[in-house]
Amino acid sequence: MSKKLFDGKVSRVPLWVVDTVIITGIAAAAILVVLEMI
Amino acid sequence: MSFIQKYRALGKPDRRRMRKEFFINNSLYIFLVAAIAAIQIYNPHFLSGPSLVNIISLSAANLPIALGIAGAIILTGTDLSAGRIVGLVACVSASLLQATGYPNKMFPSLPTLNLFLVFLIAIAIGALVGFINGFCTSRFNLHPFIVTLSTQLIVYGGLLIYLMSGNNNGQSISGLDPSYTGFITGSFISLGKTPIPNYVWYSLVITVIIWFIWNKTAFGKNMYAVGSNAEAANVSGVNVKRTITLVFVLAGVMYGITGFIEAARIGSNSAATGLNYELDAIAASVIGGVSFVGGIGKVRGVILGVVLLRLIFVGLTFLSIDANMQYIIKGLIILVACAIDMRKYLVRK
Repeated sequence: MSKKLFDGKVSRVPLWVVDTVIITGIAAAAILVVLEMI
Repeated sequence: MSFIQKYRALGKPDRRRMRKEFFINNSLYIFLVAAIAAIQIYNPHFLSGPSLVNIISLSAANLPIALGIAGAIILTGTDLSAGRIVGLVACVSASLLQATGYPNKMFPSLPTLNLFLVFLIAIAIGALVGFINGFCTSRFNLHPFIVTLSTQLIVYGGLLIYLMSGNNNGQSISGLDPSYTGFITGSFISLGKTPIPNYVWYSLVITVIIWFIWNKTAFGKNMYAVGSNAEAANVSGVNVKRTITLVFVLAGVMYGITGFIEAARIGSNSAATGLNYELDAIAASVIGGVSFVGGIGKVRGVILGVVLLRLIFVGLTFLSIDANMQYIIKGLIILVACAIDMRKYLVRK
């Protein structure tokens, strides 16, 4: 899927890539917080 | 049809997809709420009266700058000069409102100026830099990232030169007049035994004014229109260049107000004042739902983003987490907020 973003530049980012970034980011933040709490 | 009614009307595969969409789109809020609950269990003083007043006060101090930057983001831009403008205004305000008779006064022959006059000077400085940002962005078709990066450096250079002037020679500016500090950090209402500083109420008033501008004026509607689709807005008769310029001027005014408040709040101002303030403000705006693709963002979202971010930062301090690790966690939160914003856009299209 192609989208127009920022002055005509086109992005072809599959949804699963964005979902992976979200889940990985949340998991990393949660793990770091838990490790610091322990 | 409400969310629950829509959910019940769907078949099993669609319900599964809707649950997945809900959890991913709200994953950051779920994580932040869970983290806050965990911190409260770990340290019950986290959400106590004095701590809550501290969180509310810090949020109120950051709210005007976040509202200013949110306007720039709604226009599909950004504003990297915000923090340095806050720093410049804070130092100028502090230098003009030092106590008479203070030994290290920056301008010894200058009396302590009228508070309102210095407030107007603070707003004027912010508006001037904002005008330069908006003018260069709209007239020369430059991306706001580049323009505001340049003005950030120019403002910082100006601040360093200013701090060398008078009797100061680059030192921090402190010894503020009690009328100034009392006006900003004084209190007439307390939560339990903890006084709520006056600048919390000033921030509330500013927030109401911004809400009115964004939602009830033609300028506000034009801002959203230009952010959604500048070409369509132009065809509809919106003066795109003027709208962009005015949004950055308004943002500059907000940074001026933040600087005026910050000078009295922190008491001692230097070249480091305002450093990286724009990063927290951008993070709060994105967490609160202001979209980088433009045309989307609400005042209540910015408030929510500022408060949530402040809760997390104070919470991480309560957990005695290493300050270096806090940068990593902050960066991850911003990354996830941007990814969720991008996801909502992709699904919409």
